[in-house]
Amino acid sequence: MTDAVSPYAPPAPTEVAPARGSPGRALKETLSNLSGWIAPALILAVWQAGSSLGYVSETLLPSPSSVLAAGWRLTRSGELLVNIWISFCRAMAGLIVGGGIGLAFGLANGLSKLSESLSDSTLQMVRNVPHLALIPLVIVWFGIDEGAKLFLVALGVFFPVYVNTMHGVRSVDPQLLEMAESYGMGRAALFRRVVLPGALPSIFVGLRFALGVMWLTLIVAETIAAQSGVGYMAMQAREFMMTDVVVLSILIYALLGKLADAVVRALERAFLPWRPSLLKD
Amino acid sequence: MALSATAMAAATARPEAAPAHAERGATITARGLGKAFGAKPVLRGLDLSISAGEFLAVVGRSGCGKSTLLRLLAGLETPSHGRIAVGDRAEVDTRTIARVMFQEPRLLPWARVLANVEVGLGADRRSLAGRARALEALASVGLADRANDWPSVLPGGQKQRVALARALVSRPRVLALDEPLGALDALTRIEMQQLIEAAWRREGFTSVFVTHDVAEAVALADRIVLIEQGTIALDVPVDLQRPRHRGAPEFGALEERILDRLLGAGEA
Repeated sequence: MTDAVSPYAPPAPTEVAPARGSPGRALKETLSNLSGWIAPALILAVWQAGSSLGYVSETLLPSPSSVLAAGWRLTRSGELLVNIWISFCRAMAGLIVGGGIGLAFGLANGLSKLSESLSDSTLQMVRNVPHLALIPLVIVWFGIDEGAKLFLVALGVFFPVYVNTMHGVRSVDPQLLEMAESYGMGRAALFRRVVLPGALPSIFVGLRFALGVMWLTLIVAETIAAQSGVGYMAMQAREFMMTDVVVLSILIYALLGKLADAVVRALERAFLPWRPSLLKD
Repeated sequence: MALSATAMAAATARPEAAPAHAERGATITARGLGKAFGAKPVLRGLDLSISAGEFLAVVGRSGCGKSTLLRLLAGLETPSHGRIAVGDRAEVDTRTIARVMFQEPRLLPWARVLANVEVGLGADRRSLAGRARALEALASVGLADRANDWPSVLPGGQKQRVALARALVSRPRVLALDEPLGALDALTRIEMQQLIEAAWRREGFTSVFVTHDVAEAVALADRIVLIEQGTIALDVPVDLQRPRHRGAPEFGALEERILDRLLGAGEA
């Protein structure tokens, strides 16, 4: 976790060396991990100094210390954790539904020409509609209920997972497939032992894209049509000019995005231990 | 990257005589074999009989159809004309008794070395005896200590040795080798040739070895066929004592005879 990654953009693939080896190397790794935090820490320091010395208006951009204070206040009242939990649940529900459907379509269309000819061109057409453009329609359909957020997040998450899964299945090395067939693997074994592991790196790329879209969609949906969640908390605070809470909400989104990214990396390490980039020491 | 002691011991365990040959190896008979890709014929009415346990080398210029012949014999492609009979009965599915060593190792990158060898076991993969056989096959190519490595960390020659172990563990009656040593350096090539020859002597399968290297063919084969424009242009037995010495005059004479034919065909 050395680089600062926007939660909206897909993070660049990174090479993570497993933490093992001599104590000297461990120290080196710790240092190189820490070096990524130098710039953010500097920015915070300058920001705080600017606020304390009165160069920055506290109402336009509250100082880090007052954002921290707001965070502490809202944590004690319980409001913050409840809102984070609600946003988290919405994000996960949308990811599971949209990602699950995307994975299913991606596998089906990657494996079967028939399935692809039936559904792919339709899906590609829908893909070209920006899903956030549907918000007015979604509010008419679902009101500002949970259904609206679930629908939007699921729709947004669907396409990156679908496209990358299909691509992953398609680009499995045909030489490996021929080898496996010549060794008498049946269709089920072929899928489980060759196609799925071969497609997995690409599926993870899709998942990373999907996480970016997931937070973006949720932020927009919660600021426009919600009565709870981090986005709602930010919009409420704006009404009362509580900019410290607004900044806090933005930071929380950034942290949640970063956390999701770290989880995917951990999953990649667990599921793709064979990749040369992970084997390098 | 020298072969381990176990591999060398395995290589020299059985001397000249190979009693298993007749039982293990399968005969291969091809009659009027033709294959065309689209309008382009690659093989034209080729007849070939390979006896059980024989080591046949197939040489020829690139694009002459030798790889296509191998793929047909191994059941990876279906012929456009003619027929192939492998083993005693014509209806036997070639793919159940023939194994292919490809030009590339074609190891599953997400499976460890031992698991890759176990691909060759098919349904026996889950049994304890199967695992022991896979380890044994890995030891026979001198890689017992790499069982738990990922394929991506092995050098090219060792990857091909894993591929050989994977083929051997399935106890093939026919082993088809499609220029498997083409990408290796000279020393590794010679080591691999020795491994393949030792495995063939030990296990007695029928070998079909496609190569563009005439010296390699003379070093390994009982018989060499030269493919030219989709048919057999030359069919010569190699009556040299094993183990063969590349410096021997008969070796050189045979190699030159085949090379001359190859080069002559190029000019014609």
